[in-house]
Amino acid sequence: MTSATLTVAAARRGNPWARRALILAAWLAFALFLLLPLFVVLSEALKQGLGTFVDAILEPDALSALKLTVLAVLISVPLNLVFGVAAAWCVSKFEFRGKSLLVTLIDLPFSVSPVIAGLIYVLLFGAQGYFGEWLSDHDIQIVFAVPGIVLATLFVTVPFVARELIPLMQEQGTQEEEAARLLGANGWQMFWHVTLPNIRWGLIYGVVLCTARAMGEFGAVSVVSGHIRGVTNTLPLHVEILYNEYNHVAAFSVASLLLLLALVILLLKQWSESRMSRLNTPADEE
Amino acid sequence: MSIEIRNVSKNFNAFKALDAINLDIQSGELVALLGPSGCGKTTLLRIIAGLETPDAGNIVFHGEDVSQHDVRDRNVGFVFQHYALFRHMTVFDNVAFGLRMKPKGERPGEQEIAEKVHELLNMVQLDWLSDRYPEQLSGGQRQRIALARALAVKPKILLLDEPFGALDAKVRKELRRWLARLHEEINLTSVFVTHDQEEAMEVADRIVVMNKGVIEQIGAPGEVYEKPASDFVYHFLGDSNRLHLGDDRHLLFRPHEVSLSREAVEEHRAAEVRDIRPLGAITRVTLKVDGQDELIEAEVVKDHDSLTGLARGEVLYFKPKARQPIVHG
Ligand SMILES: Nc1ncnc2c1ncn2[C@@H]1O[C@H](COP(=O)(O)OP(=O)(O)OP(=O)(O)O)[C@@H](O)[C@H]1O
Ligand SMILES: [Mg+2]
Repeated sequence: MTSATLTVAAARRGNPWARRALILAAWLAFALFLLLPLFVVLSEALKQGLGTFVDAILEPDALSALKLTVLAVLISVPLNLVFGVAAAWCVSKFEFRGKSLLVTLIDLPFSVSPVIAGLIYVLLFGAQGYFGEWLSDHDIQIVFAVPGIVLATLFVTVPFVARELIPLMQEQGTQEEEAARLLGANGWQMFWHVTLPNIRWGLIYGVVLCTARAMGEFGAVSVVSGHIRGVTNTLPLHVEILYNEYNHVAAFSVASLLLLLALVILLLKQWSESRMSRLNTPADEE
Repeated sequence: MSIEIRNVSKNFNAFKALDAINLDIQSGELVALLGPSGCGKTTLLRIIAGLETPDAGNIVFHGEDVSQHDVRDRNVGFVFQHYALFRHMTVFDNVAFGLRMKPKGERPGEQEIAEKVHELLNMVQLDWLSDRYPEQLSGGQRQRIALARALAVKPKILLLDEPFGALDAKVRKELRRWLARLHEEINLTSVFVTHDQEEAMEVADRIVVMNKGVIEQIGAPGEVYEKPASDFVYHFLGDSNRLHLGDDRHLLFRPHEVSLSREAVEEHRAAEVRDIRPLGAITRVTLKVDGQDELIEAEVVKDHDSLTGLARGEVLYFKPKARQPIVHG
């Protein structure tokens, strides 16, 4: 037996010192890997005073990157919401052929490296890609343009809502829906009055995670972006460019903007999580 | 409203859950579906409600074939085994649900809905719980709320899946008497599932005994108890003893269908007393007969002559009353 398992075993038996040591270790790790970087980002950003910080954020290229990021989020999150609910509904409430294949496909973006996802889009829609000729004939640009960014973001965020809802809906079963049908509800009424309220906190949680990922995505977006300043740069890409140009203060200022958004999302996540665990005790079991 | 079940079969993959079920239920009847776990009771109930589609056969309500009708159009009240109350709605909203889902033209106003809901909640004697959520209710309370919710849309047919399954013995008894009364008052046709024979005997007008996807017997409680159509029905409807007579023949009889004596009497067989259990008004004596391992249980009134001073290990003479010997096939 290793000393670590010994400590854990001791903690479980209620040895107060072992427990305190473990909790302290957890806090130390948390401080080292999370709080310290946070602090570094902020202190670097504010190194030359608040003025430079604000300038870096209000600089046109940074603002355009922010706009693009928000656009990507606003398009991909609602689409994922709809897709996620529909997919989770099918998987958890019906039996059909190809069900496990669908579940696997939903997970695909988790297992595929985002860079490869980006490359796939370049291969499909790029100038030399399968649809490249047709697209350029019709004057449609996808890769190295905003649509490509949105598509790449969509791809990497596909699993979030569905993954969150499938186990939740499977656990809740179909009886309440059946009860609603028996009481005369049509499909839409049943969904709106019974299914949706039952999954709402899980749904919010999934949407929050999805938003975080859509905002922070780097790899896939980087491949399809082309890094055109003020046009196809999202916030993470913009941070990288600034950093590569040794413009550390600006890089960290923009980074702290992302960080701020992330914190907001973290709080939202915490809130929806607590609501979810509170409301999800099944009421129809004894 | 009468219900006819015609030749209904249902398979789950290769498994035959229901095999050519035929059953006629008269308007106003209270019928119990009785059978062991997994025999297809719930499946049959769900097919009547339209929650499940049969592979073959038809369901007819009051002369009209409703096999193709959607669940919503059958207007059937259904109480699930675990009640399936809407967990995010208060008791009031649960009961009001069916009324609020009605199409615009038929939907009563909120005022009228509130009146109806309180009327129903009063009927189940739970009006004081109307602001609670299902998780804050006891099992018996949930059960009654589920019933009130099902009755809100004035169904002609009420289907109940083990409505008292999860409750303790005393509440069960109370609720089933109450259900029987209610059934009479509001003129419903009801089918309820149970695997408790006592429950079926006490409440139902007729009992349908099922086994492995087929109906073994249909009849009034007295009929299925006194004239069981098969060994299965006999065993299922109460405790039974099997006395081997040799030559592959045996005799089935219930514990109370026995005559006991301390002295050797004509036609009585000797047996060793293994156990004596006073159970209130009756006393149960467990007997061991030579020639078979299966013990015999006899139940007699507690002040029966044969019991005075009786102790374990003594010899007692017994004789099953009536019943024809059954030849094993
Ligand atoms: N959706 C399903 N898929 C596969 N098999 C099923 C399904 N529903 C029921 N069955 C099977 O059909 C048989 C009958 O099930 P049913 O639920 O009708 O039994 P039951 O008589 O209600 O039993 P219980 O008293 O335990 O509730 C069982 O063997 C069950 O495993
Ligand atoms: Mg059942």
